[in-house]
Amino acid sequence: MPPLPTRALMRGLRGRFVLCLPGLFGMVGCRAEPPAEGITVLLESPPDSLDDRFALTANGQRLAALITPGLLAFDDASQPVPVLAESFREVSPTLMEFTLRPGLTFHDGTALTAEDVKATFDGLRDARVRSPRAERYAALKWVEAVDARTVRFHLERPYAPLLAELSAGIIPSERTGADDVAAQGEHPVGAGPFRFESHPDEEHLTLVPFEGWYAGAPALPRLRFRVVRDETTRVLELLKGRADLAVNVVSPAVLPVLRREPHLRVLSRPGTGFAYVGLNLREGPLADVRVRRALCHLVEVGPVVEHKLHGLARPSQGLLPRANWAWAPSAGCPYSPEEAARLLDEAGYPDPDGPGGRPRLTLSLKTSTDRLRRAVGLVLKEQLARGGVQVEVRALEFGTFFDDVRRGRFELFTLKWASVMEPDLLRGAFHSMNIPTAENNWGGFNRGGLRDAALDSVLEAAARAPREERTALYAEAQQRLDALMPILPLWHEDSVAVVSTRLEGFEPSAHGLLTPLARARMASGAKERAQ
Amino acid sequence: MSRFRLSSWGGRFGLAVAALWVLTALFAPLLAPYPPDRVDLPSELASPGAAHVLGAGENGIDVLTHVLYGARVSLLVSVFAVALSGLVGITLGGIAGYAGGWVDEVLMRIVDVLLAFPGMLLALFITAVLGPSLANVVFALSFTGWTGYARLARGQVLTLREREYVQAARALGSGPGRILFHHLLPNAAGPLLVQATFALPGAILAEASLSFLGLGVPPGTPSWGALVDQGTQYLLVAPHVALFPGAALALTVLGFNLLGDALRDALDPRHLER
Repeated sequence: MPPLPTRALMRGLRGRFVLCLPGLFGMVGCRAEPPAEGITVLLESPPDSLDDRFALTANGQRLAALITPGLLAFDDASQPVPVLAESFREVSPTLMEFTLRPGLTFHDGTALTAEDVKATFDGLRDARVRSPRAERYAALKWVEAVDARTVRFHLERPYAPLLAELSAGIIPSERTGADDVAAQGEHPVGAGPFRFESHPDEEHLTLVPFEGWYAGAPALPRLRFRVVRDETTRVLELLKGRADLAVNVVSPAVLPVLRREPHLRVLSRPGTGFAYVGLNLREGPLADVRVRRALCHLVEVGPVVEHKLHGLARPSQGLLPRANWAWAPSAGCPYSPEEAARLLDEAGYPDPDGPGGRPRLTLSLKTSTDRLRRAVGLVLKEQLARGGVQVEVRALEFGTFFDDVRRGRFELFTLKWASVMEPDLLRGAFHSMNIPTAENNWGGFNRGGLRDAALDSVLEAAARAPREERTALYAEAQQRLDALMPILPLWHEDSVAVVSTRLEGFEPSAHGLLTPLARARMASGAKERAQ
Repeated sequence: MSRFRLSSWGGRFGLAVAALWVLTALFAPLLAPYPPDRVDLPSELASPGAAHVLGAGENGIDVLTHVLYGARVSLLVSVFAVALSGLVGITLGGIAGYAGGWVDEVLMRIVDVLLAFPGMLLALFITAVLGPSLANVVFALSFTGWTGYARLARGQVLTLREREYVQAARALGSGPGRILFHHLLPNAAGPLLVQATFALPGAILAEASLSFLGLGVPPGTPSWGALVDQGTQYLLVAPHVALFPGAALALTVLGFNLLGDALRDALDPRHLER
């Protein structure tokens, strides 16, 4: 039977869909409007805050980085690169010194000095400001403004990961107090490449280029951010030419439609998001490392990456992204049903009645209702079933799911680390001090409940050690984690941007940031077409 | 039932669809080309063709297989939901109508309270709390579904309870239970059957709606609503994923509505007198 001509049919239909379907939902009209000045960026959810001190969601942090950048940022290899700082150095294990770029100014025209930097970090740690990031500065003793361009960070104890926290957005000193939180949230002022213009409702935000940006004013005349929650509508907006950029908000399966459009480009680069299967090590079969390793040998990541993610991910070769400076190769667990069967036999889970009969053991897998995670859960179910491990997949609303994960009410779960930059994340995720309990308000990130004294001491040493020694310590930690197998690593997702041909010079960042917009420009002729 | 108007094209079409639906549900394992839980990643979202007559969906599931097995889920959920609603509603409505007084008042006020809630919203709430499973969907749909039967059964009993044959049964010493279940409710069966026929497509749609919202059947269970939900994400790349289960759903609901219309025409006394 020859295949039905659905592709040809869809080509015909799509034009009508693009013009009229969104109109049915009252979103847009049936005819394409000429693009306005500047570019439109689609977001899948509104930012939780435009104030970097309070932004916890990815979109909050992405937008805050455009308005209020910090002293430094991290490149694709997660190496620190100066932004507002011209340079920085480690004077001693407990003293960091930053020199600001000359002539920095805030969007309101006032000069950005070391006093503003000191005030920013003093404010972040001020209990009255109530920043959720405050506890990350526990190792910071005090901040010293040496002169207008020099600022020093004095630490209580050697703590290398603090560098990552010094990327917090710098704001004017008069806005750092507890009484100014609302003003900074509603009309943020920083020294970033774009300044705030308007935020009429939570679905719309407009930024304009800042003439005083140290690297020169961005070439894009205006950035309009629009929240479109439904993916099909986002795709239609891109197809129709009503949006110019969407970063990490279109599913891999839908990208082929966008790739066929001459006015759109799909750009990708290896990202730092990490998908994994969490395991509950506290009790039951998963407390046995042989069972965990057997599961790992049963999961075949390659076909999922190839067919479900359309190659837009890398099967993980460890817990850290391949490009991270602290990455170390790990033996991993290649797909091997034979090895899995041997390990399960050894662990006391023999096959009761041969292949295809009753399972060796039964586990439950919790996932959120996110379509991709749910579908991946079903693939894992099928792959594990081939090895005699029956899995019941339960898709829960995200709040319920996450609460269960925090409180250890799971056997298996799927989640992802949104962006892996600082390898000290391993200490948060696997140190026994970070097991969620009622005492820490279920706030620890070691959700599987791993306890290993040897790993704990290596991770502690890595957090204290100077940079050159950290690489070796993290390699040792990753080897230990490979042996303990506290989670099943799946893949590192690529960062994928859909870009219209009106926008030139935009390269997606590994972390999915929007800061490359500062170097992008309108395509020649785009401005004229807009008028 | 001998007066059932099979001569009307609607009734015949409805009956044919209902029969087809029941047969499909019963023989899905024989008719389906693949097991419903088969994952075939290389075929993900494949267009209709030789390997997948109606195409493939997410994870390469065969759409035809899921449409056939989906009939089974909608049959199970709708029949059980209608049966449970009918059992509770007819019993309580019959008691209210026959007993009258405060019993009638209390039961009918409960019905009023439940009818004041949007039924779908309440079902959403119940399945969200209890979690996705077939049993929970049946319970959620029956929670408010019984009220319609209760009102109808009460009205029928109120009409019939003073008839001569009821008085005769009473004079012969029959108790209230016997009169209600042996004399009154059997004579009210016609309108209640019509009500059940109309409730079936309602339950099918409600199950599909719950599954569409991710609150119906557990992930991986074949369901028309779940398949339509899956297909909405891929409307632009694989419209067949939503199209075929949507068509099956529409056809089944239309068939049952036409069957209900024909049944109502056949059993409505006013219609018979014409």
